Amino acid sequence: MNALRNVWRSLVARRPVFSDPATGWIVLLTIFAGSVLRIQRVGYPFFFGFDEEQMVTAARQFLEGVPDTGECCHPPLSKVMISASILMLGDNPMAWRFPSLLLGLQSIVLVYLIGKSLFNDSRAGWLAAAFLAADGFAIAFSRDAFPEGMMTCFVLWSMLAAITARGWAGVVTCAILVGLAGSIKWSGIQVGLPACVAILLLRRVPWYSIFAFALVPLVHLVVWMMGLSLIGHDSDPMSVVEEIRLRQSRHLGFVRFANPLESVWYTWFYIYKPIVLKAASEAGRVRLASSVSNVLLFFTSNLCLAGLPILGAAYAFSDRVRQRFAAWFDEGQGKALLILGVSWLSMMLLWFTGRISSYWYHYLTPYGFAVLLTAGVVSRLDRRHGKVVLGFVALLLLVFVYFAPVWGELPISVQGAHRRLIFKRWQ
Amino acid sequence: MTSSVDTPPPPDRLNVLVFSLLSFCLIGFGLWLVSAGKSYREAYVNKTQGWRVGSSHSVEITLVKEDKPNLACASDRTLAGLNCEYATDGTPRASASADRSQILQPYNTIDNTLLFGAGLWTSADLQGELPAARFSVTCNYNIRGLAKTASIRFSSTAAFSPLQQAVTVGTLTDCVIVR
Repeated sequence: MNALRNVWRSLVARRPVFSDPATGWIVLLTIFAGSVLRIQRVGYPFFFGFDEEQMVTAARQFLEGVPDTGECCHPPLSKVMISASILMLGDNPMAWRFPSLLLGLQSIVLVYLIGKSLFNDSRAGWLAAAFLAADGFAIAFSRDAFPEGMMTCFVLWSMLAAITARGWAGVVTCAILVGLAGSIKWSGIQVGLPACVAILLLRRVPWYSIFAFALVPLVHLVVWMMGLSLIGHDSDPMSVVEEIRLRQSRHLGFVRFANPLESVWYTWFYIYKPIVLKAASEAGRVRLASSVSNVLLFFTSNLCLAGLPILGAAYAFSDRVRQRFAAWFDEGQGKALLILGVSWLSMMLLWFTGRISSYWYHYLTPYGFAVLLTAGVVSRLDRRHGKVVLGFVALLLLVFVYFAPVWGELPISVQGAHRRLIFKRWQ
Repeated sequence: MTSSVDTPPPPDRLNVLVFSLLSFCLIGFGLWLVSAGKSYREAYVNKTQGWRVGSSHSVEITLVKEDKPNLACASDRTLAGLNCEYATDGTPRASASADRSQILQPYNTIDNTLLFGAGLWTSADLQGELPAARFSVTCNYNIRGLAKTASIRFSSTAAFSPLQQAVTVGTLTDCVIVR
């Protein structure tokens, strides 16, 4: 009984504490509801959703030991994870989507830890967890066997390791995680840049420890070697490098705008072409998994992102702004804002170049950092304007409830779905 | 005696990386428990009539009458007494001529699933005059195993091309032309 009492006390001590107690309860409720919406009926429908056929076919081929022709170009880690899931749970839709769900839920934990560590304030962590839990973009990709959500989770793991590193072991762990993120999709390697910035800026480990990032290509190579050996391909380093180059050129050779779902990076800021990942009909009603974001959170995060360079410029040139900034953010929190800004920017770099095909889902990983930034800003706001924050999280929960049917495949009438997905390009 | 005041205090919290790893395992285990308790697998198998080795299914295969001599596979393996007409190097297998009902040929079902089957042309309904146009037959397909490394061709003059996926191998019995 004593042990149970201690566990209970420990849990109560870690509950979200905000200026207004109601905010904490709403945050908890949002996290719970977001998690349930991700888990419920994830195994349905029984047919393939968005790009699942490619991933699952390749995952099966990894198990069968035949060439992975199911999916043309991406590194093998996400497909191998689906293979492992099929081994564990059988070849069924639940197993196909299990890694996405597992890592999607883990992302909620990770943004909590990153927010809390970066801003040294548990409110920032709780808000980040609630924000991500209540966002349709993250929800839909937690329910589809697609690598983007998995990569986002590994990117967040990498940043958490960089932020919490207190010695070489932490930096080496970070480098391994960056290598794994890049072994899901090559764009994941971009997280190496903000990870280095975080390590250098936070100064908790010697600057030269960033040489540990030399491990990143090695980890990437080892994952490829393991993957290719599973499908009977030559797995010596030179053959693997040759195969990587072949697949890379294939990937870079995609004809741009041949796919009507393709969207340019600047259209992501106004949710121009979100993708419906799954659609099924059932007794006159439809079940949809739309990747439309939580509009309130999305546009708030846009404001925070836009405010960051403006604030930075004003900070550099105005004493008054510096004084006012100091009243809101201490030095550590200022660094946190900078790290999150750099993280968002780094994950966007590839898409800014416009050299390869880009889709709405490519914004998922940068968006994770935008959500963290928003959580950091709102947590500061809570100190002085608790009621405003209460109103914001309450409104966020209402938007979540309204959109939940079209994010989490709850049965809804066609008219109801159209009311939520109001634009033609959203449907 | 009093306890030493120099003893460093125990760390007050878990390293966050350890905590996140622990949460990952807990979430994974919880989801596994939930999914294990769910009826997804059974429902999915019922829905798709999951093709497993040892099971039998009704399949509808699309054919033209020239397929009888044209369809062929090449492999050195013999599976449950069934084998391809050709060896991996493309030469006829010595054992292949004995019993035609044991010779595997590649077929496509009407929903475009590739399978290796033996015995289709020995069914009674396919012994007479075959339709001149493309037709389909329904058969009982008894799955005996999986071929991973065979080659196939759909014309007697074409070269063999290697399989890009694993393909089920089995016998086709009680085939009837769909009229």
